Amino acid sequence: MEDDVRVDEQQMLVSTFFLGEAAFGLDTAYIQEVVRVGGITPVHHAPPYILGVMNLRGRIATVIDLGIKVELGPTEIRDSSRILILDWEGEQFGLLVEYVADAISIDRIDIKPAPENVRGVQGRYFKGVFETQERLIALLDTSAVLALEQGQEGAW
Amino acid sequence: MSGFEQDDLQKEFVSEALEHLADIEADLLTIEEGGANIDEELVNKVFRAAHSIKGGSSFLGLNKIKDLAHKAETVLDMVRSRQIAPNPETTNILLAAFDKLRDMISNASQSEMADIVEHVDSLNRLASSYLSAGKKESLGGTALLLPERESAPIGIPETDLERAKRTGQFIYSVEYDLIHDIERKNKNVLTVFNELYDSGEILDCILDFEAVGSLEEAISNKIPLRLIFATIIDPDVIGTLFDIAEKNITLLFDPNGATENSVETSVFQAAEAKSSGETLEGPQAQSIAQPVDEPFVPAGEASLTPALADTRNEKQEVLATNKAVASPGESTLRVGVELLESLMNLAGELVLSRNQLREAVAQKDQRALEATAQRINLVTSELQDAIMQTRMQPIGNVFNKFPRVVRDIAQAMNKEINLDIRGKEVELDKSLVEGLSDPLTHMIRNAADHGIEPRAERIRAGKKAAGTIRLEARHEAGLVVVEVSDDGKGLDPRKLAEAALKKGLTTQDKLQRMSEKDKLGLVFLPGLSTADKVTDLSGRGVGMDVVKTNLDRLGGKIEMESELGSGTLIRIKLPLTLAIIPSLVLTAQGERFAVPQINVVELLRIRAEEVKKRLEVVGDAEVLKLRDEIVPLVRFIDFLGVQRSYVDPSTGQREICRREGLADRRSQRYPDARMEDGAGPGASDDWSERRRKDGRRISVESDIEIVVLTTGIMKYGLVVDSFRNTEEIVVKPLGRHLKALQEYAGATIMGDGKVALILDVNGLAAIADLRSVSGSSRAMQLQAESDNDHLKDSLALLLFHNATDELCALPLDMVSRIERISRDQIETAGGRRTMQYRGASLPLVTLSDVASVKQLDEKNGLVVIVTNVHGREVGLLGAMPVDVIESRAAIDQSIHRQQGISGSMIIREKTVLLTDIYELVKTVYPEWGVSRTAMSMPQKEMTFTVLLAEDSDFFRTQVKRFIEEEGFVVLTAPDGEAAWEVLVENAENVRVVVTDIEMPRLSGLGLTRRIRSDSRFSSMPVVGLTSLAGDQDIAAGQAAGITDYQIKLDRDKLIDSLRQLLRASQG
Repeated sequence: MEDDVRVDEQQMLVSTFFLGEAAFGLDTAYIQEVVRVGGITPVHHAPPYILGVMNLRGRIATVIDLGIKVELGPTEIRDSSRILILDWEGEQFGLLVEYVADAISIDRIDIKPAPENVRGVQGRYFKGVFETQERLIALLDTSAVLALEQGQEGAW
Repeated sequence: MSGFEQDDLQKEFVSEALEHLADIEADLLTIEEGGANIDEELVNKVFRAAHSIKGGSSFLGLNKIKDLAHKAETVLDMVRSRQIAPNPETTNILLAAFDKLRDMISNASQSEMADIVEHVDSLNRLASSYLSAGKKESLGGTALLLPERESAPIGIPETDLERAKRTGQFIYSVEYDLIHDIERKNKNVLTVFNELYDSGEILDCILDFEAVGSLEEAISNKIPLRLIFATIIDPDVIGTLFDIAEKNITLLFDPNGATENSVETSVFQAAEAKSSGETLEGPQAQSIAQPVDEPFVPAGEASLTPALADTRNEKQEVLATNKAVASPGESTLRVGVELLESLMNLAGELVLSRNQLREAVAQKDQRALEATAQRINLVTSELQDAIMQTRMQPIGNVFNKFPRVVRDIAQAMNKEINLDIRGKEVELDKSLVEGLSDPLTHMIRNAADHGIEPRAERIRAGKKAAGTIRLEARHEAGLVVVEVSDDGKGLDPRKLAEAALKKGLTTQDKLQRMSEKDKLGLVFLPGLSTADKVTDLSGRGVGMDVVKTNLDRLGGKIEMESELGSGTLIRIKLPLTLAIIPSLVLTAQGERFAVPQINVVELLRIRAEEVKKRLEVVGDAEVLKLRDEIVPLVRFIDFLGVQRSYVDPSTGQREICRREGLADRRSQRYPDARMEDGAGPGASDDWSERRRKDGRRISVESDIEIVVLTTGIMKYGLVVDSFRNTEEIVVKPLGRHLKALQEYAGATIMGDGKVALILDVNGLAAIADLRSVSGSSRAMQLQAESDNDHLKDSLALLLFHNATDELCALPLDMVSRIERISRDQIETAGGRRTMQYRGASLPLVTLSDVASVKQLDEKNGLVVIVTNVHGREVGLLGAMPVDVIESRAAIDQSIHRQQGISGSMIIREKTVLLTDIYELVKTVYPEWGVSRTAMSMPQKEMTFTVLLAEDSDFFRTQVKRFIEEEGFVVLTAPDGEAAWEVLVENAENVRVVVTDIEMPRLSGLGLTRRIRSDSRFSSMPVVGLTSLAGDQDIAAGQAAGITDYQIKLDRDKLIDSLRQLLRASQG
């Protein structure tokens, strides 16, 4: 993908994807690969936003239902659904999304601070928002989505 | 400096230094053992360790480490040259110094802050106490050597110069250029140092940053590093040793005297040098040091050794230091080159096989595919073995620290202990070796501290004065067995049992059935010995529960053998590795789970028709009857479906997990998830059937599969859908979001590439609340209830209902018959109820006639319990269902005591009201008792005194009341011993003794024997009271001299018996 789009200091390549009507973006640098949904083992007693675990070439990846995590409600699984694989702080994560759209190049200057709420999603999950011709895209903050939050550890 | 990767260098220095230090304890102890007979090779080895630490630290600017290492080196050199005797004191000082070094090195970046004065002082004092007055001067002094071509003199410690002179070493100044001579040649300073250690000693190293030049000047492409090197290699060939230009090597000192004059003149004992020496040494050193001429005679006192004093006072500290030893260096692992090469080969093979696989797939060549699969299978297994081997470490890494531990304890406690170590070479997984360190230390300390007796005691017991602790590792049936044994005083199972009983960790009943070995096993119970600092269990019990917990975590098993007076043996069995473990794969709700085989006790299938017999519900918990045990059960599916709460990170509120919703979603989402259960056909049927069964606790429609698991402390049964095979699984960690889930130990990847979770048997038990007191006590109670063999003091009860939620009981002995009746059989006349029964009119009573209880609940059906009171038949009305049980439960006489109810007990977690039928009848038919008493009791009997011995408060009060109602005077005693005292005191009055059989201190039989053997009481009638009199008991009672046996709560018979006996004794 990076070959197709020219990226310079000011530019940033963003993968876009959807949960229902809501459009999200994530810096492609974070995304290791995108896989189809399948082979997920549920983990009972896990926090509700954990869909389960999957085998990623011998490593165990924790799959997070992005919809639940950002408080939009369960992500529907259909043919178009994909799991974005992220390597974050030495651990493999999967993010379940409804469908993956194009990667677009945006100008960093166009990124505006996240409002309190984007289509019902708390602003704290975003680094900012930017607008394309068609829609408003919210840039996900990986650490807000993937990190254990305070008080979470050992709570269940 | 970043160019030189100081960080990497420091890491390398640390790991290398720690490696050097690893064996030092053992070596020093061996040297000490050898005494005057010095093993030079060994001293050299230790010397070299100190030396290389000095070299590396001096380059890295770790001056405190350098200084201490240098002092240790000096003392070691004196030991080597037989100037200092390697006696325990010397060893203590050296050990303490090396401990300190190890601490500082483990924490190298903070080492400059460390306080080494104490250690430097004691090393100095040690050295100076062996030196003659003149030489003493040289100890902290600096000698200045004048290089041939340079102007500035170079200072080296005088002791080093002395040594060079003595051993005929040349001293050179060698100037390296860090950039060209080391960096560019792909070396690093430490490797260069290591090469040099083979041929001499690096006395000092000086990094000359000034030569690098300042920023303004043209950047000098050079960083000089000057080494002061002492070696026996002479100047003609020295150039070949160093990989640098010859002009950079300068001779500073020639021991053969060729340059001696010039050197001698250049050695300044300048005042300046002296004063610098003083600051190094500290002022107090000189005042304590005493002049002694003879080597080998230390002038110092025991106070020379501050570290030893510590050891004596704070044995804990020994542990603490040793703990610190085990932890560092975990991030790197040394692997033999040979092993690495075989790994490379295997990786190559694997790549080759992959290519063949691709080819075969492309060609759709089945045969080639099979061949390749086979090949990959082979290579993978080999690769796995090889990788595993890289994790294997000799257990000696842990064993090696114990000579020191034992020696320190022996010294501190003035014992003589030999430590016999075997099997150091046995290899174990790295994590196991590390995990063993603490438990083993604990056991060794226990053995040395509590096991081995002091010398005098040993001699008195006819043992050798020196105790022996044996530490052995060996392979046995695919496991590693580690044994710690001693020839000390051993453990007393009786005392253990007493302690366990006292702390309520077991019951008398259980103890009776325990073998000696089982009793020894009590030592592992949590809470038995941890609290006591000084154990009263004479021996090795301290903190063994902690040891066991640690070993459980490692998947190990522990057992103990001990013979009082001759020693104790503790055996640990460990798997070879933790990373790959044999596991049982089971399924529940269509998902696979793995359970480590080591936790699996047995697999059971309970046939549908047996389910009712084998499974029982107690309260809200299910239990399984497994032979003579009661095992709590966990329904795995219920467990997985349990609603769990969690703290919502956004709101901070505790909320219920949307578990059910998720489960539903899952089944919608992945129709295949249900099929996962099997490749097996009918898996989906199984699923729907399971759904149907859900919510039913005991299903009798189908067989039940149970895995009996052990946590090491307790057993429980896990009800699963099915078992599959046992597999070797590779343990993989779960992500951070799942780490907090105690029930999972990790995850593994199954043959089909999907992930299966590994169950943590301990965690699962904890979450299922099996560990809680209620769980275990419930199980214990049930155990007691279900056990018929040892219920001598139990009470047989008929349970019946009054209201549905009001459970009542009547002693079974008082029940003549039970009949089901219907409501309309009951006739009421004159406010009293009767029924036609066997051709006569049977008076009926109910509990609600006298006690404030609920009205009799008739909807489940009525029963009449026919009993005999004062020679008349009376029917007690009760509600269905009825049951007969034997119970040892405690009877409470206060909470529910009221007219007609003598007390209450808790049976199967329910309150049961104990009906007092005599009181009940007496209240309803007061005329019966009066007439009887009036008729049959002569006035003179009033003065008769009965002595009643009974340990149960309930029975004592009950029986006392019976007898008193008959007009006797009753004296009571809670046990045989007390009864005897009362009897002796009231010898004149007591006419008959009524005694329980099972009592503390002195049993009823014992009391009877004592009565019989005393001439005053030889003809005293004794009535034995039991709750269940068996023939055997009666025979034993008669042998002891019991006159008559009566059932405890059968008032009429007891009273009759008393009257008869009194009459007989009168007549």
